[in-house]
Order: sequence, then structure tokens, then C-alpha cells
Amino acid sequence: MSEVLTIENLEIKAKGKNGTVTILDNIFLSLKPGQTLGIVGESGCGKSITALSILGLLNKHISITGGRISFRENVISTMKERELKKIRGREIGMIFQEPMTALNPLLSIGRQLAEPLRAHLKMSKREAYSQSIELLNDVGIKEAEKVLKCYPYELSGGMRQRVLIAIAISCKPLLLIADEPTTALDVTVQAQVLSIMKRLITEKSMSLLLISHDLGVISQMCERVIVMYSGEIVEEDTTENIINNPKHPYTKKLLLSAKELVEGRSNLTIVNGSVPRPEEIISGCKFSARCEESQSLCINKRPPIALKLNGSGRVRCWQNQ
Amino acid sequence: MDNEYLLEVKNISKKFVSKDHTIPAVRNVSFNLKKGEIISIVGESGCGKTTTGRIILRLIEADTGEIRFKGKNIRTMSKRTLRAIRPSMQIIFQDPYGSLNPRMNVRKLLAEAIMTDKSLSKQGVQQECERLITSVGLDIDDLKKYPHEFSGGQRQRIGIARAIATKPDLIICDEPVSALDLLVQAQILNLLKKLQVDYGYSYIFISHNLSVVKHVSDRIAIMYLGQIVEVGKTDEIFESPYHPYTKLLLDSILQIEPNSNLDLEYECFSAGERENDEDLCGFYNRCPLGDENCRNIDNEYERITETHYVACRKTQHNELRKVAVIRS
Repeated sequence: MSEVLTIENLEIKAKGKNGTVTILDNIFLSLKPGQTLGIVGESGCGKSITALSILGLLNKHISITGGRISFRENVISTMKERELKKIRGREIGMIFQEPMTALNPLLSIGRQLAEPLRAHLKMSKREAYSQSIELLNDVGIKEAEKVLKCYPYELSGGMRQRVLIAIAISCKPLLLIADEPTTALDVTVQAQVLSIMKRLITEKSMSLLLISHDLGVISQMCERVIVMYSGEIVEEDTTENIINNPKHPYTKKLLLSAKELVEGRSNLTIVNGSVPRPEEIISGCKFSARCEESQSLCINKRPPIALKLNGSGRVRCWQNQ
Repeated sequence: MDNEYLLEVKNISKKFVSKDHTIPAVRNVSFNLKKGEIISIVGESGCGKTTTGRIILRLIEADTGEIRFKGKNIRTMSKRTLRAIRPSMQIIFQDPYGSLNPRMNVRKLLAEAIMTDKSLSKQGVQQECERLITSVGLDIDDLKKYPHEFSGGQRQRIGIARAIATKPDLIICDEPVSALDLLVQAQILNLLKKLQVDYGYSYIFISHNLSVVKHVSDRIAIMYLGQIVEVGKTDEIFESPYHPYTKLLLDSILQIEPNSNLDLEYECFSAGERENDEDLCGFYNRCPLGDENCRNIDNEYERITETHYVACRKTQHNELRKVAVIRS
């Protein structure tokens, strides 16, 4: 089957006070119907920008300067806003991080849930109402009638996030983009919201693009994982391979830290230094300054992203190609 | 007076009153802390863990209870006497962006704290600044810089340097790593641990994340709706948890192994409204075991071991490791 989403050689630059900086470079990804893909990386690595660029929601001073994004074989990266509006919310659903600010505080939940149904699916008020109740039941809210009358401030963080999920899936999108959907929630609520999402994705056979800094969230939700570092993809593979057999030194460190935290080691392994700033010019591998395995080639020449020596995934590392 | 403890907290309670609600944020919380010990307070947002931390520092006044620091009751202390004790109790905040004055460079930020020790000469303050900044892993050159020039992790290091500048005995760390990236979290946690070993600080570590506190704490107290529901050594909490809420928290830690613990049938109960029935256990609404006997458990702890206590009437059902049953 053909891809739902493909990104080819995407490059994004931002205009700043001191000229333009490249914040995303050489991004390739593709997603088939029903597939789940996770993007993991630290803050500032460009994972949210990737999501926003798909939706055409980039800030004014940030623009796509190369490559293209296609959704169901239509190029959407150059599409006009009017065309894009028909896809956004209808065929691509989205869930953002802050359940506190993503809802309009002045409108009741009922109004906000009915909005996409009426706008995209041209439902009548009555149809939208009964559909809303069904949607809330889908996300595990039992007293749907009561919640529809509520305003966002009356609901807890977990309830708001469920409402956002309900809105995102309301038009039965083919692709769901979730940017840190549970980061602001308590751990017990996180487990609950994730299992609701997982159930809905299977039931409604949606594709999922999940963005998170938390490897635990990604590995529970996704079949494939992309690891990003400083605006680049450094590794892509099946979740199993990433978790059990990571190739890129950055992926290895990230995993080690996450595992040690869960296991509760008394002394955590440390990776010194920090992510390079986007304006820093690095001719070699961007991770080389923090990498234990780096050699002179790594410092002098940027590795391309290439197929792994013997495996299914891709990696951007001289030592593993 | 028992001088074995650096800090003794006895039955502190705090109600926040607004026009139409009274919220008992902290209810009858008691615990002790030895010198050099690290205790963690864990619970979800709104459980009263931060309020507890602030009450100990008297940034919030408790309604009732007693707080003894080095044997002295600081709850009844005058503001003036308290001021003299403040340097020995410090706090590290969650947000490394909001907790440093953006108009002061690092040298000024540190000097301000160092100069609570009035005996130091100008040069002494200078030397102390340099010692502090290097002890948290930054450069002496960084003293000239302003907070906005640093990353989140570096700012948190400055916050730590500032907290240890007054040579405290007790440091309250309120979610010190939850705003930081994974690799940076590890750096900061190791730094806190190292400082504790080097200087013998006692920490109260406040966090919503059990796995973060696992490797720093000696003991863990689990809070739910303003109460400590279970307290024990770190191993006891992780290996043999008794309270259903503790088990729920443990089950909610996402494993890194794919598809290992988020099974589709797993629906943990949601935080319900607190029952109007005040006597009822706070966890009753979410508890699969709760019944009519779960009343008046405030301050009634069952002793499991010398160090392990739990506020639950259903401890005989402990074989029920997984409590993921929805209460209908």
C-alpha cells in the first residue's frame, strides 16, 4: 500500500537576529497506513518542528527551504493555506502537549468537540451532539453528557487530554500526530491515556506519528523509532532493534540513561557536554564532541545517513556503516 | 529531646481556604530525617508534596503541628530567630528558568548567598564563588555570565551552587530534574549525590516520578491527597509495596522494553473526586479493595518492619500485586 506520509530531504531554516540557521537538515521519513512511528530526542533536537512542518503550522520566521512533504501522494509542503485547512483536523488529527492551553477556555467542551464535526463533516447540531457523546465514550469518559456541558477549567489534566484526543480523532483521520501527549500528566494518568490512544489507533486503523522525549512512551506505543539529535536523524529502526541493539553512540547513551533510571542504579552514566547550538558550525558529526567512539574522520567529515551494515534500519555514523 | 534527628516533622496540617472550598492540602504528616539521610516524597500533582516542603522551610505556615530542626521547634520561632537558621536550610526549585534573577550575573547570584556569612572578606567571597562554581562542574569564567547564557542543566547547577553556598545541613530539592532532558537529568542527579557524599547534606527530595528518586533516596514516603500513605526504605517500597496506591505508581513506570507493561486491558483507575465522607480513606474511590472499614485511617499506620509503615486496612491482601481493577 502507498505511504500515508512521506518526508523527503526536508530542510528547515530559521531567521534570527544574526542571520539564518539551519534547524532541520536531511530529514527523510515515511509512514504506511496503520503504522506507528515514534520520534525521540532531547529538547531542541527538532522533533516538534518536524511535526509542525507537516501541519503547515510553522512560525513566520521559520520556513521550509528544501525537500518536500507529501500526504497521500499530494505535496502538502507547498500547498495553499486554504487547501491545507481541508486536510488539517480532517485527515490529519493532532494532539499537543499542553492540555491546559490547547482548549479554548471560553467555550464549553461540547462546542469545541462539535466544531470539527460541523465544519469538516457538515453534521447537523443534533448529529454532532450524539457523535460527541460517542467520541467521549471512546476515550473512556463515562459521564459524557455532563462533560459536554463543562468548561475546560472544570476538568483535570487527564480529562482535558482525553477531550483533546476525542477532538483529534473526531473526523476519523488517517494520520494522528501526537506531540508529547502525556508529558504534562501524572504517571498514573499517563499510563491510562496511552492505553486509550493505543486502543483507538488499532480500532480505527490510524497511522500514528508520536513525538516524545521519553523512550518508555515511545517503546510502548510505536513499531518504529526515529532518533533525532541536533536537527538530524541519527538512527532509524524497528523499536525492538533500537532498544535491544542500538547502533548510534547517541542512541546507546540515551537508552543507557533511561534504563538506569528505571532500574535505579546508584551511579548514573554521564554523557558530558550538551547539544550543540544551531548556529555552531560543525563540519564533522554533530555528536562527535560528546562521543567516546569518535575518530578523526568523525570530527572532520559529516557522516551521511545510510543503511546499517546488516540490518533493517538506517544510521548516521561512520563507525557503523 | 531526641538529638539523633536533624529534622522532626510531627503532625503538620495545612488547609487552604477559598471562598467556596476548603482544601486540606497536608493532613497529619509526620516524618524524621537523620543527618546525611535522603528521604523522597513522591506523589502526583496536588498531593501536597510541595506544600509539605515549603511548610518545613516556613515559606508557608502550617495550621497545626511541630517542626523541629536540630531540636528547636521552628514553627513557633520568631521571624528574627528564623532568619538566623535559614542559611542551614536551603531549597532547589524545579524551574531553572524562573528561579534565578535574570539581571544578576552568576558572581552576584552566588555572592548574595555567600554573604550571609558576615565574617568573610571581599576576597574570601571571591574565592568562595570560584570554589562553588567549580564544585558544581562549571568554569570560573562562567561567573561573569548571566542566567540566559546557560542551558537548563547549567542553570540548575547554578541553583545548586547557590543552595550550597550557605553551607546548609538540609536541602529541599523540589522536582530538581523534571524540567531537564534525560542525559542532563543523570548529570544533575549524580552531582546531587556526589555533593551529599562529600559534604554530608541531608536532602528531602520531592518528585512525582518514582524512578527518578529510586537511586538517590535512602527512604521514600508516598503521599496521596495530603497524607503519607506509605513510608519505607527504598528497597521496601520497590520490592514489597503494600499500599494499593504505591503499587499503582510502580505499575505506571513505563518500561523501556517494547510492549512490556502497557497492555490494552490495563486501565488504571482515575483520580476521582474525594468522597464527601471525610472519614473515608482518601484512596477509597480508586481502590479495588476498599470497603466500609476503610475509615479513620489518618495517622493509623500498620507496621510492616522497623522502617516500613503503611496507612491501609487491607494489607492482608498484599498478594494482589497488580491492582488494576476498575471499581465499578
